[in-house]
Amino acid sequence: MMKELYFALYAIKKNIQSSAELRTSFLMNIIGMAINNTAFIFLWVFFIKSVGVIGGWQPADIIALQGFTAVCFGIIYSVGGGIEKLADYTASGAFDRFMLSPKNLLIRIATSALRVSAIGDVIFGVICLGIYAFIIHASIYQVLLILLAVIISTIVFLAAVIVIYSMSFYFVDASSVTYGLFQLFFTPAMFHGGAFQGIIRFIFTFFIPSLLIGTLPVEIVRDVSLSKLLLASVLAIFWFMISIKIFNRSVKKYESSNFMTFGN
Amino acid sequence: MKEIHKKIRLINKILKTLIKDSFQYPHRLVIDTFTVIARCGVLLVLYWFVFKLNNGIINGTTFVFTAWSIFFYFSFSTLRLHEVSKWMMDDVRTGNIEMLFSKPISYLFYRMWWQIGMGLYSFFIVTILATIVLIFIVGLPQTMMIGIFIPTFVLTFVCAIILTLFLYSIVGLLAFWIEDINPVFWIVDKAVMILGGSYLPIALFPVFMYKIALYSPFGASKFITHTVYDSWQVDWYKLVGIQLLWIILLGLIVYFMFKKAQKKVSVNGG
Amino acid sequence: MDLNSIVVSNLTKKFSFSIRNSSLSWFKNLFFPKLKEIVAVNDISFSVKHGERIAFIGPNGAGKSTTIKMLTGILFPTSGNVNILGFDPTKDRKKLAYQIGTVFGQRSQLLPNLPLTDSFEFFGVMYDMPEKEIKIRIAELVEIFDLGSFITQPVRKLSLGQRMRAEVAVSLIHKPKIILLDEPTIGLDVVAKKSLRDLLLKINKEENTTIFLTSHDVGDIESLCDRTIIINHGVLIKDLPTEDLAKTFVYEKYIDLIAMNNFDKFPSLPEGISYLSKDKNKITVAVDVNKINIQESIKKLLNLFIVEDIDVYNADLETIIRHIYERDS
Repeated sequence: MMKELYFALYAIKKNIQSSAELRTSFLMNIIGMAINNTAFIFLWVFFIKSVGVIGGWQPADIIALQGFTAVCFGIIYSVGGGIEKLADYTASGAFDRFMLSPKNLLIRIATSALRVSAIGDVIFGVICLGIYAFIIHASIYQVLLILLAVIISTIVFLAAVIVIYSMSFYFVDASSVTYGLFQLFFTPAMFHGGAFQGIIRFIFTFFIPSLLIGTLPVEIVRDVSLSKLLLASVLAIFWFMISIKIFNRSVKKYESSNFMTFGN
Repeated sequence: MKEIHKKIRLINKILKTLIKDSFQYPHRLVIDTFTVIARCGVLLVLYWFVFKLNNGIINGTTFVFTAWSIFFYFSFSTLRLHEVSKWMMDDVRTGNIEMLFSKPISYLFYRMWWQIGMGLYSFFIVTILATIVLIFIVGLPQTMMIGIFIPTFVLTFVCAIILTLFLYSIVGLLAFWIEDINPVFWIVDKAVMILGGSYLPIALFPVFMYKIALYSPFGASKFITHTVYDSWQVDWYKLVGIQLLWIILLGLIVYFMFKKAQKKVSVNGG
Repeated sequence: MDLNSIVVSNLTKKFSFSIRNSSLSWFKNLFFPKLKEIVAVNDISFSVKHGERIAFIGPNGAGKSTTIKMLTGILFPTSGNVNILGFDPTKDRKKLAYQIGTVFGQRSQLLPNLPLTDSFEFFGVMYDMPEKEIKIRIAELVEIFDLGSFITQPVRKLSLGQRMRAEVAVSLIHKPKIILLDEPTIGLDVVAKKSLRDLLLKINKEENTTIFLTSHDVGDIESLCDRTIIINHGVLIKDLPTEDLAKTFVYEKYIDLIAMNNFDKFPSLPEGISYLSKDKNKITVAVDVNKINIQESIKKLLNLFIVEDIDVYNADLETIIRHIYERDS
């Protein structure tokens, strides 16, 4: 296991080095993404100004929401940027190369690429969470909850992304399918959490885990809610285990049928 | 006259071919449907709750109007016109641009019509279906049923297409000078997203933001979202006028940028 | 009517680009970069008649693509003149485009998801051909290129050999007077290569299309092109009929000596014979028949070495070209 981790870290470092070669592009991507993300904050803050407070959500909570979603998105796509390329890998046949690698398949694929802009997301997210902690005069306890919530949301995001991109093994035009599924998952995650009530909240917590990566963490920290923390942790573990199972099943299917044999 | 006839024939061919191509890829249609449901659908449900909580009226408007306004935004987005920037960037990166330059057509003309062609099929199907669904669930506001609505809507829709293509072509043409245009693309895209009235409908804009949306090309490219409101009947010619002004201005910029880009390619390669 | 389809006079292309100087600050590098100038094509001149089949070759980085880009009008020369079919590509690129066809071995111009007929029609319309003419031309090309068996399949399902045939066919939809091909046989198997070459010869014969080909495949050059132009370091170093090229080193013959036991000594060779490679199992020597004839050299070599087998042969075109590249660098 240690060897796996060691190699994974090495692969990530190489990814960063090669991206950083084009220095201007590297910086532009990070800064650009950070600016890009502030747009959403503006949107929802104006929303609250017009519509009023809903579900107890203040503008500060919006900042935290964008913070959590950006951080988990950023961590996974910077460290594990290869997962979103799974559709390309399977379509082009490059996946076979990974199958021959002596390292753990999932980790190898994940660390095969790095989205430079995702680093911008992480920086943006961390700043947001910092600002939030400052605004609400967070207690030590709450800061700890923020950290825990980040871990939980990252695990859920990872699990969701693994499940979504595993669909690459089942479809010929996989990149469209995975894009759509990702939209379905991630877009609601960035919406004003207080507006999710009743059935909608149920669906997006238990069936599509969108609320687990943003809204729930915000409420955990804001309300210092241990019950929500427990719920989120359980769901995170559950989703993670399912995602690994689905991934392995999908790879087996790929091995047995390997229908990606277009004439090249 | 013969020139125009030739161009129309080519446009026809591009559109027909791409629509035929779209038939081969039913997945794209599924995806666009997913996207509209995921974004627009969930958004509408949320706003429905929000309006309910506020006794049906916010900022002087009701749910029906905001629903259609938001829907127009997302249905227009299924045309995926903004992808013209990415295609241009790819053309420059892969050297495909040289292949296209050796053909007897104008590159810009080709790229823009190609972009329209790519999105047409999805756009029609998704829009028609979603419109029917929306009529049943939300109903049609009065403002959409008066005579003047359809012609002015079509007018502003066409202007929106042209303006969007010009705007994103400017971003795309930057690829001739900048290695990676993505950061510029994100910023422009977000400006359009905010000022166009997507996640936050224009009816809920604070005053200063509305003014920016009105006078900027980013907002102007999505004036179709303004067509549902009462004010449209009085103001439509003003807004279409603003669109036309921006079309001329951005069109000139595109033209000059392209001429410069051609010169750059001819002097220093891709 | 002018006999020449292409006339290139004193064509020169210089590129200048900024180089990063690591000793300067980041700021200076961005706004006041040091400029370096390279001469990619240096004063080349040649002319091509209608219906000629030219191989335009040179090592990688020799200036081939740059020259071709200047022929099509994509790149403007720094100095010198290009005249293609009476057009100046820098002024009449579009008009010229109607008369030339291009095939890039590594980049496809076909529509991948649709059957071949759609690509034909698409380009037909692009070249402003009337509907009737397009239909007739498609039938012609399908016949000549034998595309009938897969004409209805989506292009992405075709094998590489079929696809290249289709690419060349589509590039001819508008009956261009010149066709420029860049590595058209790359990746093809031997059968597909021969088939493609035969088709190009056929088209050249039937429609008098000038063929201008760049390729690293010597077989293409030998079987397809009656004239070869070699360019290296931006300079034209050879322009001659291909069969004369094959005779360039006709004074050189090669002899392989296979050892009976092992070769353990490699004594110095008589005048006119030189080692090309030595190994305990096999020795290859080059013999300059101007200095020593074959009879003498074989006698002398057999005195020096005990052999189990001996092989005497001419330089092949590939070796010749390699020598030309090597001697020129």
